Amino acid sequence: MVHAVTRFLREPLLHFFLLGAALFGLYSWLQGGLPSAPTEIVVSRGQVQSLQMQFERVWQRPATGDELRGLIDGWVKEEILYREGIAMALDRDDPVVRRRVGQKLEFILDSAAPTPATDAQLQAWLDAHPNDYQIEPTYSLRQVFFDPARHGDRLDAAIATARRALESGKLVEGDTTLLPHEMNAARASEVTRVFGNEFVEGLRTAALGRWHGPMRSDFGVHLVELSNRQNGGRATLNDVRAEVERDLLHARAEDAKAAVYEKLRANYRVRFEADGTVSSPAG
Amino acid sequence: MRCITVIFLLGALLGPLSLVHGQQTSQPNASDIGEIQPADPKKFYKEPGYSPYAGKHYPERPLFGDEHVHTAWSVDAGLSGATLDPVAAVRFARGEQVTSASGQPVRLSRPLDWVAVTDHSDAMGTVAAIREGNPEMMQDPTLKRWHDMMNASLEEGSKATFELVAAQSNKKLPAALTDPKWAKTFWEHNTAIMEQYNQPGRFTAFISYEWTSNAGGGDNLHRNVIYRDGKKLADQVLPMTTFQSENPEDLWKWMAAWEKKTGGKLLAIPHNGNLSNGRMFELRMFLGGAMTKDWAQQRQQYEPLFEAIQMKGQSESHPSLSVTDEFAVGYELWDRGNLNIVPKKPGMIEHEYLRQALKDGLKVEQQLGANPFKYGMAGGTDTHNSLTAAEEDNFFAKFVSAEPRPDRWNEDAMKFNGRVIKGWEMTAAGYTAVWAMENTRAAIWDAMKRRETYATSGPRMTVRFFGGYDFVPRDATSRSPAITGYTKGIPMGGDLKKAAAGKAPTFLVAAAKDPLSGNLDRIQIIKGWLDASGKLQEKIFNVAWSDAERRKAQADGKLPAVGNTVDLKTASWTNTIGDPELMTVWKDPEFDPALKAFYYARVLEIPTPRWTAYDAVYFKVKMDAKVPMITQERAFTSPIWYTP
Repeated sequence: MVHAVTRFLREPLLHFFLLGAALFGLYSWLQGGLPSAPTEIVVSRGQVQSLQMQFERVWQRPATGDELRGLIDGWVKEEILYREGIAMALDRDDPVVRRRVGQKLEFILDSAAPTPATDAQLQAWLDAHPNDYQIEPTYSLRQVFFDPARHGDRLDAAIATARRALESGKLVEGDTTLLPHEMNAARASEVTRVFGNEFVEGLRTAALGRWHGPMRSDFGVHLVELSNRQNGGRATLNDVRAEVERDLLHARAEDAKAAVYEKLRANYRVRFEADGTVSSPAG
Repeated sequence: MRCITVIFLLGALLGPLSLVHGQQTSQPNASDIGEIQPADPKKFYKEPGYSPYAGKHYPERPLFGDEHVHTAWSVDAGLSGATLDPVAAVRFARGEQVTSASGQPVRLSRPLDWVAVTDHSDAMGTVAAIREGNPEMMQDPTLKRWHDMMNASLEEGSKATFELVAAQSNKKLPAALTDPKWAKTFWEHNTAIMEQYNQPGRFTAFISYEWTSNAGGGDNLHRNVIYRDGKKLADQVLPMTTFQSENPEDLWKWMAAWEKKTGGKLLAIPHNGNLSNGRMFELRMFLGGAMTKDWAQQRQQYEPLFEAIQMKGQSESHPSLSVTDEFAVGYELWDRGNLNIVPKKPGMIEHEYLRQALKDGLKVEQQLGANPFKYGMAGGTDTHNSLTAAEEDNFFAKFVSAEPRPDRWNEDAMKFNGRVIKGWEMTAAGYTAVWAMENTRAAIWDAMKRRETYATSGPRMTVRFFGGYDFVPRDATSRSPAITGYTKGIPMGGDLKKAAAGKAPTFLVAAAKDPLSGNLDRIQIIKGWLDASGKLQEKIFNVAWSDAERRKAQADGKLPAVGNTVDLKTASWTNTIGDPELMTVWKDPEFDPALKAFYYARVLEIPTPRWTAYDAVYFKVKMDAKVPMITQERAFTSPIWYTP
């Protein structure tokens, strides 16, 4: 709602309507009725500011004195023509005015609709759409890489030697690679992205704290030690609150807009002259 | 007096509310990759000092994204049948399945890390209204006719698009499209969407737009403007449009004014030099004046990257300019005309391709004291259907009318007055890889600004490229080349300091294949320099290659081709040739410390099926012999400059 008000405030034409409405009310109240032909045009300080603001929003600098005088002259001219035109009912059945006014209402509905959701509502949304908020498994691992091309026939032997060293707590550097030697709490999709699908498959069930392998990837062969695995699964509200809120409010805004229209629509009876059918209240 | 009172009252009532606006950006996700969760039982290093990463702070993984995506809110996209909005574009980029405008379910092979939705600022968002037959717009006979064409058929819709692009180029757009009130509405809506889908640490959705200058009737001078900041700052000023100016120098002025007003930061990425008919890198200012130092500095400041490859071809190198470059020949060239396919005249191509511009930049710097063409590399799709699908086996093309269909290869991708670019000429490319510290707007933007980026034709290979004076061969076989690289040198996009006596630049370069794509054929380093006689030179060095036991460099430095395993009957290949990783240290053997130079790396994959091959198999069509069916995917890094 704050949004709506803010946008509303930033909309110079709305300023004008607002002002117009206020002035209209004031005149009616002071004079006990409509002025028959108001011939006074007040260039308020607010109006001048609004013209300046509009200019600045495009050109990013204040208008010069001459430019401002031009803007005000233009506004006065428009105001006179506008009043005369309204008096002649030229606004009726004009597609531009129609569209513009209708659009403004929609625009306001658009931004006004969502009210903050309660935890219970967020939870209900999450329960209703569990698949949208699945938490991926994460892995913490360390790997030693073997480039088969470098070892040729001696690859198996090299791996066996390395494994023995690793299992006795020694360091093994492995072959040079751009691949990370360790990943911490990395999501499954991250690990897949780096090492490929085949590699990740092997991690699903691997026991923690032991060296596994040789595991194959597109790059070569690896010995892998998994130190931690979080299995993922359904998210709790705390995990995905921001996303749930975004999606729920988006859905609500859409629903609210539709509901407002339905409500308005219910007040109308639409008759099709061509074939004589009538639709009422909705349709 | 009474009026003033009323205004004052209204102001007092509503004023305080106006202080509250914009939306708070969400806090970075606490469970970002790379952090150790408190729940971890141990920091599994068995001995202290095991981890070479401890205490190091450097980018660990390239973040892949597309800096160039259009949605139904772009005029030409909407006209040609696009229906997916920016929400769909972002959801698709982060890996969700969507249904394309032609009704086909589609999903990326894996999520991107970030995206910049760059709808055209000119009349942004008006087209949805054209398609729906917005009565206001339908008063205009041209808009009404486009509306009818769009609703008639996809083919008619495409025609309407071309007319619209031509009208925009020739400054004959209907007035109803140029009303700023539309731009404002849709811009604020756009920034709100990006704010909602931007998830620091997980997925970055930039606020961005494309400023689409088609000077002189279709000379492509387009720029994507990327915001470092969020909605609160972006909303303060309307995007720059070409109704205000089609002069890039005015765009920089607009950017400067925006930064001054908001305190935020912007950068611009030009694209499609290949369609600019000699104007993208012309050696003069936009209005024809001689280049000035100030002009060169501004261009360098606001334009750190250039989009070297996208669906409308590559602008990295042209065989007529790089005559020794065997890999520029026939590679995704759109070199017959500009955006309206107005044919090129001799001398135009010289000012369209980045490699030549990088060379020209050295000469201009010599003359002016500033280099206007100090560009790093970006890649994007320029898709106009919200689908950043740059993969050869998953190519959803640029317009809805070219989404997967049996005949798309043989249809007209672009057509103006009988001049045609065929469907098969479309390029399934590209992405930008960014070496950012973390996945946030600020970190990715900062990496773009320092040009620590590389472009790829679609695959996600990892490429490291460092320059320095002290790299030795052993550094390429160290356990973690990246750490050595940052410790002893500067990364891609940077500057080498003047060489000490007797020293020559050394480069540590390494690449790892995309796990889902082909093995690597070779790494090349491309050097450009300004020689002692004032002539510009370039040379391509093969520095690391696969299958070394059977491939030996020839006397002229060329290598035998890596081979080819592509089976066109099944659109498949095997990784039985090539290597998954290549790395080396290379020292410039021809270095002259007195001469300005730049160096960048190009990584080539082994041959794999081009998108046309996948189409031919899937749709069982036979294409003409001239249609390329095999490609060598590649990456180009940002250069490293040497300035004595």
